[in-house]
Amino acid sequence: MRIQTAIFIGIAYCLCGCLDRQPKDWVDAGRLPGVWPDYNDVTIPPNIAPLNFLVKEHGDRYYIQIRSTLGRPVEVCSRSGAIKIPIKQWRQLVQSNIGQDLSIEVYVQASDGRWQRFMPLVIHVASDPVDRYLVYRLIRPLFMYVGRMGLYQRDLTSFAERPILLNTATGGNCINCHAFHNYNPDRMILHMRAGKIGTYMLMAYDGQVFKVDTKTEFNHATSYRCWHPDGRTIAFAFNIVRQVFHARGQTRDVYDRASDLLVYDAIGHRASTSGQISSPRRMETYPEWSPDGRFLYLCSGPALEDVNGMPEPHKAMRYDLMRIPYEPQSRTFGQIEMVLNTSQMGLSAAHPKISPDGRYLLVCISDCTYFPLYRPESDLYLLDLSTGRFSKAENINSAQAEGYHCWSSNGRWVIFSSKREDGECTHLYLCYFDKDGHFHKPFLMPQQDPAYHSMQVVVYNLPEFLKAPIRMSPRALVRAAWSKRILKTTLDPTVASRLRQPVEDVPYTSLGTR
Amino acid sequence: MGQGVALAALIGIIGCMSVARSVAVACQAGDRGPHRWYGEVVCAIALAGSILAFEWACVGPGLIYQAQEPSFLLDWHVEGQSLSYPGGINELAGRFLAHLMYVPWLGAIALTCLLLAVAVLARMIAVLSGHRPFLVLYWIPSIVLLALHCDYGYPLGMSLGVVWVMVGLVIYLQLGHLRPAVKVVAFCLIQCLIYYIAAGQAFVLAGCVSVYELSKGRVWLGLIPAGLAAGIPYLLASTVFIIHLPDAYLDGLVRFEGYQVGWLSWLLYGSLAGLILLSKLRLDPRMPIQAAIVVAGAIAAAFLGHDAEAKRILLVDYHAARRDWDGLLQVAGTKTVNPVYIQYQLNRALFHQGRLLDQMFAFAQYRGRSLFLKGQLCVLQPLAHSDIFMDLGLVNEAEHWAYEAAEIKGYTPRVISRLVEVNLLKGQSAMATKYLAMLSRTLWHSAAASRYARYIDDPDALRADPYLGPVARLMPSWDFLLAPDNPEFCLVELVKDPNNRMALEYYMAQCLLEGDLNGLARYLARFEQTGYTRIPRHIEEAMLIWLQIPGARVPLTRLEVSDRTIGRFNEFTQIMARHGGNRQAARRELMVYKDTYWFYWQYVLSEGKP
Repeated sequence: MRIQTAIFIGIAYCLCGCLDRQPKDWVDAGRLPGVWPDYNDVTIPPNIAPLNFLVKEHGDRYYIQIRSTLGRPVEVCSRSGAIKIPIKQWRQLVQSNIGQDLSIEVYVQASDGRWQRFMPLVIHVASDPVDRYLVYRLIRPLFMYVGRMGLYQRDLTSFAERPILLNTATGGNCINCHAFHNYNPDRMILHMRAGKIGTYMLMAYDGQVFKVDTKTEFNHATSYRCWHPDGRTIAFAFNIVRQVFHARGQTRDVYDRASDLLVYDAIGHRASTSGQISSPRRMETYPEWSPDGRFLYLCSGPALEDVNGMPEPHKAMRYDLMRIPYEPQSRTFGQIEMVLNTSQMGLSAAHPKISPDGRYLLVCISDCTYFPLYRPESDLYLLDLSTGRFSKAENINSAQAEGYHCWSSNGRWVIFSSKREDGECTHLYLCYFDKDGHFHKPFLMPQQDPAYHSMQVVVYNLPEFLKAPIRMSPRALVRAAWSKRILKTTLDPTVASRLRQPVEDVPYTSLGTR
Repeated sequence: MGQGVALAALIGIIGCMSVARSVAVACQAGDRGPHRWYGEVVCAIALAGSILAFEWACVGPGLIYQAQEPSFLLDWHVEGQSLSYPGGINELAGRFLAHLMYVPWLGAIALTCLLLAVAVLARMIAVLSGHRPFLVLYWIPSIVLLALHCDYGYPLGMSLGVVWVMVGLVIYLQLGHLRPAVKVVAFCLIQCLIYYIAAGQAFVLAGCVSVYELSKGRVWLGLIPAGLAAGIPYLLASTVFIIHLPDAYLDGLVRFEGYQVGWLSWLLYGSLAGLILLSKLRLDPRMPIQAAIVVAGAIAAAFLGHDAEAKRILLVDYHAARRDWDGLLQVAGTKTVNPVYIQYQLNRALFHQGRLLDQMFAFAQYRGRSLFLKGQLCVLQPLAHSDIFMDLGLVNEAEHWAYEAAEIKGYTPRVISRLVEVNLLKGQSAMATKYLAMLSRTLWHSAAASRYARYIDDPDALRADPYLGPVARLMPSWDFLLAPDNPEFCLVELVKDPNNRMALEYYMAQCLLEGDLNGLARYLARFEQTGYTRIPRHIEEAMLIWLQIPGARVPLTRLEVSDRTIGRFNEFTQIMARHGGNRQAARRELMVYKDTYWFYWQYVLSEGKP
């Protein structure tokens, strides 16, 4: 039996390619190794999963040693160049060296047996952890028809990913616009559009799930959303979306034919609004509450009438960043005010997100419209709300589109979506934001298989941090989605009925298939 | 091909069966020893051979592949998702099997093996159910399956599901000697496993087990499986799988990846239960009724399962996918009135053969629908819709519809190839590399991936490619917005490019179809500028109508309307004049001009027909 065990271990050891130890003789390459993703000089949270990567150097064998001032170095051998770091050893090393640097030495053996050592990659370990859980939507590049998609939760300390809701269980409809109250997994809202179930919101609220119809005499179904810090009020946008297709260059663009905001009481199921955030002369979208709940930030663009008749109306649709004071007790709004007059700069603002301490606002800026991921020039800009200083966020932008982003609960990390790898697939990047208000070099969310992102056609949508895992069972969400019991939203009687269009114009069409 | 050939093949099957049966009966010679076994083997070989010939020559596995266009990648990240829901394994195996159909002979062998496996399992079920083996009757499920596969859309996963069910049933029947409690537990495990593999088709297993136990007089053992089978999907959908409860019961049983099960499938399920009940009938193995039943089933299979028009559409699609315009015209050009999809591909083929503006009115044209696909047809044939934009050099829109195809049909090799092509043409090498990696993980297209890979670093090689090179040269250098609901609008822009011959001809064809002679006249001079040696016939015909308008002038200096067309036009107008301009009265006489634009003008445009 012992012999069998020894043989088994021997075979396993050989298969793993780990007969090698640190090479004794080598020549210095005198340069950094080619690796993918680019993890050199990035700052990572101390609780992140191992940064598995691919060595993009030709060779027969690869040896990697990760070390720091404290703890045992981690050694990884590979014959393919795919470096998969043992999670336990990685954690021990990173936890022992919080605030320090990790050094990754890469050795590559050529076919003639000679080893080459490259200059070490350096990874900075920040002292601030990142929220452990992340929720995102996984889709493929979409145009008009929707196949499979799902909402997933990722544990950032490992590679564990589990589905929260799959549209295969909801009649193949479009699932989108998920949002949580203050990083709380027990209060979630998401939107389901079209398909067999119809267009409704699913709201998980402290252990219960409700199917909510937010349509009223005033508004169509709602989409973009933000929970108020009070945990019961949600600001919604309701839009009539149109996609346009280009003959050359970027394939598609999106613009709104109508767009307004309202606030929804999640307990009383009542919708209300103010003429200032639902003006027929402006298009308001992307509501975002300030952390103290006293301001509602929004993006506001010209009404369709102002640009109609133009050959390419979307190019004239530029959104300004505005805000309106809100009194949570009386649930009333003050006077709307301009925060960033981006349209005057020839730019358009989207996805404003305020840091948890209320000081910074990170916003997507592109040339036009409010759908940054369809605009390659879209970049993230930082607005210091205390000083009014507005500038392109350093270190984190690329030549491709940067889009939806989210602050961690401690305000030290930002996760954002970017198409920088290939121009089509959106991937998630984590970025450290230090106490001095500087962004550090971002890094691609690590995957167990380091080749995953380079091989798969997946689009990561709407990353949202969570402090704890979602306890709500996916099956409870599916049951609620199909439920005939629908909470109908009532309209605040002080709001006049003003339904503009009899039918909703949907940007994506459900195929209703598995 | 067609029903005649199918019938001939069936007669072959029947003949083989008769011979085999004669051999078997002769071998039996009254005893039930090894000779009988030889007879059955001879019979099986004869039937399998006939089925193979029928599948290969009449059904055509290549068309099954064409109809189902499976997506299957040698990639655990993609295909591993199939393990997360009941029936996923079967779907995956079905897609793999469908991929084998890409190579027709391999597909025919795979299908024959499948049907042979069903026959062997059916025989085991019959024997284990407690009656003597008989010569050919256990081939009935296979014959029904054969009939089902005459429907090109019938998913191979459903056939595999039947195999899993039969394997489960055989395992259960092997446990006949066990105590009832143990049998119930064993059934529960088998049912769970088969449910996970084949989803709703597992109910067929439960039904067969119930029939078996009831036929043996064990009422409780007959009812318990039904109850358990009903409870398992509920339990699993409530605890393990993320699935809508009705789907947990119906997927696989009444539908399979969008395919709706018909009565022939129910007949198949019924035939499995029938195998068990046969023991009650005490059939004489030599009874001719066996052969009669199988023969009747085979004939019914051919006639009920065969859809000539569906096959014609598939053949057109098959040739279009390979840009085999001769083959396409051979299939589609046999009728003057075609379904919209065939006419759409026929018009493409006519253009690529340089005959569009000479012969398009030899076929019934669907005004507004036969140059571009529209509405639901775009959803049914998204990649074919993408094809026309590639032809026109409108790579962005070709990309758009390739992505729609990816959502609607999955990442099939054709879809991936198209995405490789558009990304290469647009110079998006990162995405092209990604799709090339995907293409190299398909079963049969890795060679194409290697060929395309050269183009990433070598744009000259791309421009020299016989297909991609011309497309690259036609790509518009300016941007404009497209109208997915009215794809023909793009022609107004594309025709501005003097090098885009297809845009010119399609623009002209569109003007002809819409009766827009002003639009046609606007670009007439282009024929001279782009080197046409003569005016295409339908354009000549339209010009003669145009010249009837006072003040109309043809902007051509070198090319002239041929005497023959002028002569025919005079004859046409004389016939009309003879009937006092009464179209209906003149129609019979004018039928000889049915292939002219004048006829279309008089009887489609003027009467407002579609």
